[in-house]
Amino acid sequence: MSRDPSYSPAVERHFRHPANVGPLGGSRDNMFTGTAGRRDIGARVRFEARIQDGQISRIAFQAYGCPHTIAACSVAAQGLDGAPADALLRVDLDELIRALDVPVEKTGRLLIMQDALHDCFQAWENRGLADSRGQGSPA
Amino acid sequence: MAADPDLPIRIVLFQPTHPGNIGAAARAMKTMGLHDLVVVNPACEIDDVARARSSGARDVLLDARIVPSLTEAVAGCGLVVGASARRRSLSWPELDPRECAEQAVESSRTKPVAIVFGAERAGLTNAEMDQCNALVYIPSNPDYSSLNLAAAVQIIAYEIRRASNVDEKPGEKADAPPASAEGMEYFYGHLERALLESGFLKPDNPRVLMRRLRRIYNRARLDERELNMLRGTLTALASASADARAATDEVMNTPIYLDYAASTPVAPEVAAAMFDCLTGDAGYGNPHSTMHAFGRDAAMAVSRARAQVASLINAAPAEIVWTSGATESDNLAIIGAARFRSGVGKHVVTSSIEHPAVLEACRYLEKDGFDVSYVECDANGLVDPDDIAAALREDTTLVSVMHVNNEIGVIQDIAGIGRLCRERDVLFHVDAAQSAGRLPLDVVAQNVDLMSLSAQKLYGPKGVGALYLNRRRVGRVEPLFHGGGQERGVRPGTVPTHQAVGMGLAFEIARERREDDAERLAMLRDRLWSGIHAMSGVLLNGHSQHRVCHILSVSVTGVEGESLHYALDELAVSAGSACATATTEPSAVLRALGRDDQLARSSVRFSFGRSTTEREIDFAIESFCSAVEHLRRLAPKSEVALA
Repeated sequence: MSRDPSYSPAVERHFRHPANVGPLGGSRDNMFTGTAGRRDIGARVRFEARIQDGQISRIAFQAYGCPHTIAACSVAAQGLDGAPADALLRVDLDELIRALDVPVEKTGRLLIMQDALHDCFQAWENRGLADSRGQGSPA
Repeated sequence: MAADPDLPIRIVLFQPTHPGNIGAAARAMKTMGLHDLVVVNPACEIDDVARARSSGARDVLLDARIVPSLTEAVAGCGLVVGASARRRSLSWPELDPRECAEQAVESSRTKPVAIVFGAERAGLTNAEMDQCNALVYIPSNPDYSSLNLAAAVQIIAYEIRRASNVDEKPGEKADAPPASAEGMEYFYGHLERALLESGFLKPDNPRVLMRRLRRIYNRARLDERELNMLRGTLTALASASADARAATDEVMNTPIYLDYAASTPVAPEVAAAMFDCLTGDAGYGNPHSTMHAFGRDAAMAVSRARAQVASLINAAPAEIVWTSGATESDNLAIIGAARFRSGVGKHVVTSSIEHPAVLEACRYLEKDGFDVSYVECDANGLVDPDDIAAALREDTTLVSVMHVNNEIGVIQDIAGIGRLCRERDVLFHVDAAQSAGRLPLDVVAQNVDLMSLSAQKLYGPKGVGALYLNRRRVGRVEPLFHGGGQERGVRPGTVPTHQAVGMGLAFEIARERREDDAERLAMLRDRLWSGIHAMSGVLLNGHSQHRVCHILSVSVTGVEGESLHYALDELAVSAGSACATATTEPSAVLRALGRDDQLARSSVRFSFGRSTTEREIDFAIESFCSAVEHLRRLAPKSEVALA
């Protein structure tokens, strides 16, 4: 039987066996979350990242969305494990689109994922600012 | 009670010598519905004896023409057949009574026919036979072949009645033509392969057994229909044994086909009949070229198929118009009937959950200056006949409501809507593409005036359908196409013989199997529903009772539609209807039930058919549940909880 040409083999792999699926267990200390999207527009994405000393020690995602959204979250989260916190802002969408062969009409879904990553970074930065007001520098 | 054949076939008695025989011949004719008696130069009076022997057929006797010569008796006739008590030389084609009657009926469509019976003792001389095109010989006991004149007339008259099909009930099948030699060879090949595969036939010595089997089947003088049935049996047994082998394997062949509402596989018997039609001599003539045997054979095949289709819905064969499928039937019914009646009114009523073929045809009418009212359904997908009644206006000419919804399988009360349409003298069209062969259909009892039918939803080929047209009520519809006068001008274009033959046989099989199929499919549907319903957030779309046996539509909370369908790649199912998936819009039918966009998108339509097994259903349950669980695990908890 022929396979569905709408999804590349990379999407297929990440959709069926996604990496870094949340929620993260354990302590909520140093845990930062970012969300974006809404169910009624067909995509909602949530990232949880444990960030210590400016480094992402563990990141996981949850997504309600199409196969491309799920695969993109899986690839992005995998690449962010162990990266510096500001890598949350620097996920290269063009590279993701190429790697997953995402059709142009789906790029909006990847922007939702990007928004969730930015939101996560913001949460970390906000905590840092709050902490710096109380204790000094954030990281 | 059947009518008279009303055929221009005359019985000619040449120089009869006994008045009693003339009277008895008149009686024999009238009992079989023949009325035209001609007596050539009788050697007796048509007296009281003749009148007494004619009994209630005196009118035939009174109307009988007495003429001085055979030439006058057969004047104006095309086919003239002489009845002979003895075999003659090869100068005349010799027919048996059945062949004679068939040729007479066929030929009487263009010119009158005469059957000439000679004098009691002498019969017809060769000089008289020279005025005949053929002779008919009635086989009899060689030791006593003295057949009475009136008895001979009776035999021929009976065969003429039989050949005219006048006593055939609507939809009753005519005799199928005998199987062709090529057809028999295909069958023997098929049989040999099946027997080899089963191990019954040993490959080292297959010939003796095959020869014996050939002898048995040849003796049976199979006709085409019987041959197709046997081939269908072989195919079904082969697939049952393949199923049995698959059942013992751990691995299930995927994807599993659960999309029978989109299209069904072609039944093996149907494919075999179509193949024979495409490759044999009987199929390639133009069925409208009845001047020659090729055309007539094709015409006979088409007419048999028409009767088979008519029979499933209790229509007369003449009320069936061939089309390219249900979409064309819907368009022809709606646009054709509304336009034809536009002088009476320009208002059409339909429901908002009809098939796109109906809705788009209605939108086309709107652009053409018609008014269309779209009646809403309730949250269970049912259209209330009272709402239809409320939508009717003085200028309403047509109501169109589908019998079974193709997306959710709910059954509409077409008998109720039909009744009220008849009371208000409004035409009623029903798209029965999904209900044919699954629910009882009776256009007379259900007061349906136009009905769309499809072959590909009922194990027939794609590309052919039919429109039932109640001639008495509808009169005509404006054709969509223009060309030759085929299908009485309603749908010009050469009827594709093999397609019609396929649809006809598929519908006949469906008529025979309907109850058994429906019972089994309903069991599979309920098994699937109880299996997946055990999981939370699986919602049934449509009424829980008023639904067809072969469709189950559900919406799933907490999962996104596109991902759900991608995750279900081991199951060949539909999202909403196949016709709607070319667009990215959520199903209008599911929205009409009150499902929001996301629930409409996360809907799955399972549909089952003859080949679906319980094991496949169990696999589908497992596959569906694990896909839903996988996606719910991935989704943010708030989404799963909120949904």
